[in-house]
Amino acid sequence: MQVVPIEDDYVIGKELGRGRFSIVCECVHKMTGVHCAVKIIDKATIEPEEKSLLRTEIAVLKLVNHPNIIRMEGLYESKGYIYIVMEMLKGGELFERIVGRPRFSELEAAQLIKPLLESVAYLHDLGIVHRDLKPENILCGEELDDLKIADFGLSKMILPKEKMDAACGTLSYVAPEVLTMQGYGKEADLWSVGVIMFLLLCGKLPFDGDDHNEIIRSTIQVCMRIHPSIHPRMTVTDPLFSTCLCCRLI
Amino acid sequence: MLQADLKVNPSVWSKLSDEAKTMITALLNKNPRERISARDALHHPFIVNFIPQMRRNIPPPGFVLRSSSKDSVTISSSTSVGVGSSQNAEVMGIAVSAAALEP
Repeated sequence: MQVVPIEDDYVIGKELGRGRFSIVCECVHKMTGVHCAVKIIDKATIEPEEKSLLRTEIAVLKLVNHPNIIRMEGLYESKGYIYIVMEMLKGGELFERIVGRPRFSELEAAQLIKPLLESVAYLHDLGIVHRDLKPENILCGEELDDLKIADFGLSKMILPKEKMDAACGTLSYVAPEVLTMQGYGKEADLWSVGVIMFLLLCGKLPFDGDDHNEIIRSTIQVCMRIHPSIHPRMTVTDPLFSTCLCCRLI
Repeated sequence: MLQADLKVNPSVWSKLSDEAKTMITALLNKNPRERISARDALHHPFIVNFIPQMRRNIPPPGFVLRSSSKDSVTISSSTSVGVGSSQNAEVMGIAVSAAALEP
């Protein structure tokens, strides 16, 4: 935590959005002129539970150092507020890129999914499960593959064999074992990557519904039909393909 | 047991490459123990075959590295017919994935 007031280093600008217990504003570094985003948390309004989410988010942001994970530029505290300064990307949320355009090509999807998987693999190596991967939490740069995952408010550090049991995350992207409260680990993040990949390539969510119950039923009960015409040579050369051929969601 | 198929347009799904279909299926495996890990997914043919050569460290012959900003490096072709870098990437991506499927 910086001892100097944030006003000494940054000029706080317009509001960019609102989080669960915070306001996000643009800010400019007085010396370097670099534009950043600052998450401003009103200490008076946060509940003890939210305080622990915030503590987790700050701990994760301090720990991580990866080109595809949002970087914390500074941390400040005043009498009433906590300020988390984070790097800002020009492209906005991945969500905004998906909305209003048809499907992505496979090349585009691969360019997006690769850095996403790299950041997830990095987090998992550190024992961190993000738990809330969705296009709204993925920020884009100018190039397709210049993306960074953000919002670690729901992330959790787990021991290698530990399972978590709190269902969280946005329903459409949440793995079935999370919805059925069976306890879950890192694997749940890969499910979310699968939902995002499906959304990019097929132009719609694989598990969707008009209400929460319908999304949950769809996710738990869905049976993925696999097109039978898998390239024959690949099934021989790549063990992954043969296991994929056999896997069904139910 | 109730079964709800993915309400996806079959024509959309069937047009996807085998790489894309097997990758989605490996990620959306209902059993978390059988679900692909992030490290394994990075080695899946969908990622390995579809990422254009421009993002790899060694540029292919005929392509020159040109630094466009402090962090990113783009590769432009001295002989390519593409006009923009994204178009080059598209052309190269198709070429790379097609080459990978050749026996």
